[in-house]
Amino acid sequence: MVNQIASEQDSIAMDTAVGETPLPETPFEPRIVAFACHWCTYSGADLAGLNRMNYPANVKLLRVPCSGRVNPQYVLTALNKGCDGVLVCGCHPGDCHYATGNYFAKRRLMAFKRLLEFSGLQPERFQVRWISGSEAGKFRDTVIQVCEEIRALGPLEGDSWGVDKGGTGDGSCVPVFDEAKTGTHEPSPCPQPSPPSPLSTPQNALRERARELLQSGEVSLVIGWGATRFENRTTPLFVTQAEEAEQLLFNEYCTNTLAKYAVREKELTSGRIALATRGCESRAVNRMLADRQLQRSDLVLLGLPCSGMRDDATGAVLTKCATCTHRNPVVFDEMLGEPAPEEEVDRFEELRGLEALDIRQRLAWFDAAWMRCIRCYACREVCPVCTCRECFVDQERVGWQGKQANRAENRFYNLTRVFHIGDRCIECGECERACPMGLPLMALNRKFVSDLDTLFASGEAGLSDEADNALGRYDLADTEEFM
Amino acid sequence: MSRIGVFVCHCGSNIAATVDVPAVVEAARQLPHVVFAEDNKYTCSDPGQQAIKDAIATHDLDRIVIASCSPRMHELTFRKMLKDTELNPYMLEIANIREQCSWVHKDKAAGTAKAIELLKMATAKADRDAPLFTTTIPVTKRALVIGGGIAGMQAALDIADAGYQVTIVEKEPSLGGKMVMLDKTFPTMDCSACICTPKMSEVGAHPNITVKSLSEVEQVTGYVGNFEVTLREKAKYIDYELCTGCGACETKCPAKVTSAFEQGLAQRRAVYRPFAQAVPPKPTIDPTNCRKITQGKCGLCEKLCPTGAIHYDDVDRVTRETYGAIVLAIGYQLIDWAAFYGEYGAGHYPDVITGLHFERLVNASGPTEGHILRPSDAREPKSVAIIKCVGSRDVAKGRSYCSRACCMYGAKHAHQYLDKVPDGRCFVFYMDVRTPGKGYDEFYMNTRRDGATYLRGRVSKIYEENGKLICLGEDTLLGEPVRVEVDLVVLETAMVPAPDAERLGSMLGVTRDKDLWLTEAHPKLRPVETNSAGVFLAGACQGPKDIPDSVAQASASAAKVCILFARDELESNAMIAVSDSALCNGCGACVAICPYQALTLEEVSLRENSQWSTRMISKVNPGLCQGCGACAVACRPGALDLRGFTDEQIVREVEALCQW
Repeated sequence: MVNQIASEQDSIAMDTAVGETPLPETPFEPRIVAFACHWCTYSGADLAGLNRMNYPANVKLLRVPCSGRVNPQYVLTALNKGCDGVLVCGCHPGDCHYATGNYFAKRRLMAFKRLLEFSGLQPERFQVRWISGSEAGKFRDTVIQVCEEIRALGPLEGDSWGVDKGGTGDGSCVPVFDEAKTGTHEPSPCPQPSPPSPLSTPQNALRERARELLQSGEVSLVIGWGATRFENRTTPLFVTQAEEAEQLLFNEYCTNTLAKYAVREKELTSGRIALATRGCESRAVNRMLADRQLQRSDLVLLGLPCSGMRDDATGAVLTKCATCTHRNPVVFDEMLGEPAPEEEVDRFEELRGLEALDIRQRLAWFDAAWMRCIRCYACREVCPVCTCRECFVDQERVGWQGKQANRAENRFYNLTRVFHIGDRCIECGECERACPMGLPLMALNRKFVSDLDTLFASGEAGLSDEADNALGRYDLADTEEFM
Repeated sequence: MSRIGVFVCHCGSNIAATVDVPAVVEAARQLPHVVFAEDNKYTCSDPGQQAIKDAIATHDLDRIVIASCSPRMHELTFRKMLKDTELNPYMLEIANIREQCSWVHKDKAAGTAKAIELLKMATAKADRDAPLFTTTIPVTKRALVIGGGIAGMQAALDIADAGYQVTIVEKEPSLGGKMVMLDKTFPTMDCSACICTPKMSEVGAHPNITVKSLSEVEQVTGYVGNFEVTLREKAKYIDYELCTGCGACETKCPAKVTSAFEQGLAQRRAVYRPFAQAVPPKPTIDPTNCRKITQGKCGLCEKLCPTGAIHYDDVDRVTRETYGAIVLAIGYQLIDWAAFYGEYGAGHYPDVITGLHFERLVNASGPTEGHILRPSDAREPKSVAIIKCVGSRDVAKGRSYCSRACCMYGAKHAHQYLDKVPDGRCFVFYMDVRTPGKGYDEFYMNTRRDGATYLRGRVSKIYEENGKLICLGEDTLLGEPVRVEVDLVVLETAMVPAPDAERLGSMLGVTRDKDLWLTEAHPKLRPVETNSAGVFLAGACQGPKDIPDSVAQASASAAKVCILFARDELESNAMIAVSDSALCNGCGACVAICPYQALTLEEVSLRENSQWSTRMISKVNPGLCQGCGACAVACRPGALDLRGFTDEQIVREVEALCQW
């Protein structure tokens, strides 16, 4: 497999090289950075020196106190800045100087490595090893092996991850990315004009309860949906007066997941907030409770059953609703209407299709997506688990995120976003719905979610208000993929 | 703009032989912010250090980069050197061009190129170095020992003898732990009570030791040198100031209860001392069984007490004290074998007993006054089967480890039985016999000579037939099935962690291993320390141990406590996590990650965007933080960073390597 990818890689390198520049005279020497834990691997490397072992000069050690200090973002930064490969080394599980650092590192790096490979990075380019202070030989062998593997792959152009500069790959890698399929699920006849909606009863109940709650002063704000001047299109509605409760809508076009508004409104509102709560809102609320962004006592959750929402233009069921596993709220104070029947859905179907692709096809597919991203950050703004006060992209002191609108920076943003929210993602699909460029954001999220579930049995997020996200804990029995 | 000085070391020929040092110096001069660069023969030598000090003064350097051997070698040397200058000791980076460059690359061109790249990284990092400061923490020279068994008592005595105050917290009414239940101790067969009770009295009478019996640690906050400990001393219903320990109250109490100390083989009163030599030598009232407390009727003991020490309305006393160090000596418990061994009758046969039962049966002060009698019919058993490794070394029962002491006390029980019942037969079922200890193997061989029949193999089933217990197993040496009829079966059961281990471990930030024993900081080199500074382990709470090992480890942990107390102040780590209140959203992800419990969420009032707001943010306790940086990665909002290894520094290092 390694050889196959390498030879394909070579042929691409040849194609571009012949057409543009003459072959370089000096052979390619990969530049590799190794994040090494001070207590084990760094001292193992010192021991290799003491024993006068020989190994290639390509690998430079960057000393960190612990492999738990290695932020997966460093890996992406190194690849983007011009390293051809990254190695992360730490103490063997159980030997961590800080007791538990490498267990957390293992989970983070394992999940992130899978994500990078999914988005098209050859697995050899990012490797993780446990090397103790006495394993000088293992250190030398690792350096030699990693060097050889990456030398065989050729240079990783920071911008294109080795495919080429600027294009979307060679002719055989036509992106399978289909814009029409990202926004909605199966196109179906648009139900216009709306037939008497089966949701009308919950709508009446919602209006009724909103009015009562506002009148009695139990809440000072109700968050629901209201009409717009466009037919079938709704918008979040913030009701503060009992007489305005009549404006609340609940039909099959209530596409916005409302929960995140509660966080912002909580800062502006003194009283409690009543929230129209479907399955997606309820899971978002649970997650925000776990992340301490809300308190349960701030909220009155008006539970609503949901049969899936539709695109206002085409009438098709939204993709995010077609893969919904919780049509009824998992937490609520009162349920307005009969629970909707839950449906068995395969939420990882699209993901498996992508996983089955060749790594170069996936690279081309994602590269096409990165090229389209305009970094408007709509995905971040709607995400109920994006609750940072200042996003990493705006933290200029560290300089995580460059300002250029190129593929490397867009990739950095999109993959880091997944790392930041992936272990808490409630799969509401709002990011993908909000994306004006139709990027396949849920494919990335679901990859992370699915891997965490496979590796650490993390299950679905937001089913309770406990902060049990997979990267915030570890298990001594965790599997290991990189030894 | 920083002013960086670069000093490249030849290390004799160690570096200069394979790295072109003048070329590295020349390259250094071209790097951003580098205002001075020179080479030295031996940078770590006195002249080398003096050259650096001179250059700092002459060229007004505000940070330095030394390209030399590994920072693991001389980082501290150079930091110490900087203390003599105007620079903060942390305005220093080291490029490792010896161990990780000149010694491993034979090609001088490649070596020189790599040395320059390593220097670039170090320079880029140094550019973002900030002065770091340690703080000093005063040390409260008073120790808390949790657990009053032999390990806890030994640790307390050693610390107290060194002149420091010690408090022992014991959850039972008396000190003594498991050891005081034993009859004799292997291999010398000296009476356990005869060597344990003098220790108990010594502890009880020591002017530097306070014993808190029937007490528990409820909460621990703070850090090394300054642990704030909340202790709950349960109501004893007897005023120990007034009580003389005459025992009059115990004589007439009508409520009788099964004695846990006697392993259920005898009864005690509701007002009781668990055993005659208990320390403190005063009784306590068990409120769940006292008729006066439960029903309001009786009050006999109050009438009998000559000093008026009995108070039925006594309540728990909660105290809060500061301790500088904590020794965990919470011991072990025996595995609940009945839950795991249905094939041994799951506890339904009264004559299948544990080793600890046997200790009480054979003990002269025990319920049978030292006569070995079957629990079911009080007859002397004419044959006994002793089964070792019940729960130990049995992955199917969830415990893969060896409990270490059972081989020896199994041999001891066989020896004691054959001593008291000379015409009896004794079968010992074993997997291996492990007797590494002074005089241990001799003891075991003597037991075999006494007539104990050792059968190699596990017992697969025990059942009752005509008043006899039938043990079925296999003699794996002969490869034949074995069937033995006996009157009594003694199970030498596995040691498992004490029930409090989980609660106290997580309270004190002490991790637990796969079998849930409390873990030491390093299995070989730091066997009594834990990952929490100032918390030490003694005895079997760290893993199965016999008495000599427990006592040795207790003295070792006492020595560690005394080393800590020999200093008036501790210096905190300078390279620790730091939290930015403007960025922290109070999610608490860091709190769960930190192995040292150095992070807490605290409510703060902040003036932000021209208005005051109150919210939760994470705070780093500088006394607890060890500087691993795991929290900084868990912190998605980017509020936490690690001083000395900041995100910015690491990203700049990567940039320097790739782009300079």
